[in-house]
Amino acid sequence: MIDIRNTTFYYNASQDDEEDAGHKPALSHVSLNISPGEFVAFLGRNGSGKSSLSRLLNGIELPTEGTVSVEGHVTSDKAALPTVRRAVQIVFQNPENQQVGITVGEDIAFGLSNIGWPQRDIANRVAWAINLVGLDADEDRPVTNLSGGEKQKLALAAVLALAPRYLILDEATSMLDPVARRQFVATLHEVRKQYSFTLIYITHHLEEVTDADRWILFQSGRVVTSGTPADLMEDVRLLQDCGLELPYYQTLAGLLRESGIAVPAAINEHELRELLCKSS
Amino acid sequence: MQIKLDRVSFTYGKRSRNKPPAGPYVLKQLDLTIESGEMLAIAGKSGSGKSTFLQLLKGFLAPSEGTVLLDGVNPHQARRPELFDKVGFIFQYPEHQLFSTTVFDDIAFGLQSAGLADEEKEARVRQAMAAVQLDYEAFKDCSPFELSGGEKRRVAIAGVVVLEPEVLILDEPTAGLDLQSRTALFDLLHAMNREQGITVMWVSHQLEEILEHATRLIALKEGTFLADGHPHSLLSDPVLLEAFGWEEPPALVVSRLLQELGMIETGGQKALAPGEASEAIIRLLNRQRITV
Repeated sequence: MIDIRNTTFYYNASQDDEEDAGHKPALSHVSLNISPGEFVAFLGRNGSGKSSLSRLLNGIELPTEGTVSVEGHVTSDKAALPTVRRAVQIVFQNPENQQVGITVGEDIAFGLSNIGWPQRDIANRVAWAINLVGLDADEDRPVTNLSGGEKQKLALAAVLALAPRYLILDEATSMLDPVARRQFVATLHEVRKQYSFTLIYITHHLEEVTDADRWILFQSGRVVTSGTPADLMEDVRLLQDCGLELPYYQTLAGLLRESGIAVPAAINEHELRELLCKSS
Repeated sequence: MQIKLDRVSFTYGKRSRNKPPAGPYVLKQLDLTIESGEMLAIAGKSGSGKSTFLQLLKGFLAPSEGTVLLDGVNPHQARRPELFDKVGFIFQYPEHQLFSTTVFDDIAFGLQSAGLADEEKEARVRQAMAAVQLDYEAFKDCSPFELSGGEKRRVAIAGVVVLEPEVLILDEPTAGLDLQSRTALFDLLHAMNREQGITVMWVSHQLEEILEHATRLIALKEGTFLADGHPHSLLSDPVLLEAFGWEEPPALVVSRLLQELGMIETGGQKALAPGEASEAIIRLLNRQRITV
């Protein structure tokens, strides 16, 4: 379990005058639990604290006040950091920023040898990870030959090889085209069926997280609310305040329901056609 | 400024004297005319040649074959590379390229070689900041690194706008921005397009965004233009959707359905916003209730 308790975080907090200067905290008094196996989405405007919190979860940054603990290990405990970092892995926006190998195989093996994975088992593990994400590439393929979508799958394979229990995707699809984006999301769900981990998904696109267990909405460094997608979808205004736009059909369904027309919240083209044609 | 491509091909392969370029061709025999003041979206998968195409328009690259003409002049042949200065180019995630300690310095950086007096420089920066809707007094002394994502992006755009381009090219300008920042950015682009007649060309993967903001869409696939026309007609064309693996935007699907039912005027392509669509649906249901 991830346990975030009354956590406040300033970038550059070491400079004494920051607070006096009215410097705004990136996070203020955030408390949150994330259960094992859960699929949660962090949602909110640019600068609302989503990414800052994800950086606290694997100890890239440490809280200014409060504590973050991962399976009982507090991130501010230096001795526990390697365990925390291994348990919580992040895939960022731009896959090229986290690729180090010349070939697909080297890239995945790099992380493995870094954490001391048994040398004789690395080749197996690399093959397993490539297979897991359905990357259509052998391990000798140069990373530079991969398309954007393939690079992002490689980034996913490279972190999954490390057997994380928590995976954070920080706008990992924002640089992909719509086809690659759909494939990436499909791959992710396929992987979760075979190998279970807690998924923390950061995005501005709600259609990618309609099947999440829980949405957590951030605003100016605070958690405003959290709840199931079905519940939060009803509050269009709040979603908009958090920089989020419901997909077209959901928006339409919401407006129709407001006018007393009974339609499913997630109406699709087919259902809409039936509603309109049945009666005419 | 008019941009014209005349049978332009491009290969990254080295050209040797007396021999035709060896290929492979990233762009193949492109013909295109872009008039002043267009709002034009460019779509295509990664690797389709979008970036190469845009870099040709800015003169970062010269065509391997064919010519790029700016207002009828080939800047490469005429040895007038300064003509490309009229094309402003904003890269993907431009805020990653901010580097100065203040917003003012960052925006003014491009003016360094222009030899302007301080007052002129200040006037140009003021103008550019006004164009991107950043308050001059409030922001000029800020560190660009303390701003929000949307603000940083506007500073980066101001750094290009300050050079007074006639054409603005943006590579995925809304990637990673929240709803409010996306809306603000497009308000800004429309304003520059409308008030100053600046041609705006941008790369987008978001079909809804293209539908809402572009008056022309160019779809690139494997180095050729697979389609060029109004987004409404292109994005409802099953052949094109299939070729790109796109799904037809719901706004078009719903609008067509309502057209079939006679609830909105036929003739001309329509893309109704959810609000407009729900009104039409409610009208239809009410009418049915009355006739029943």
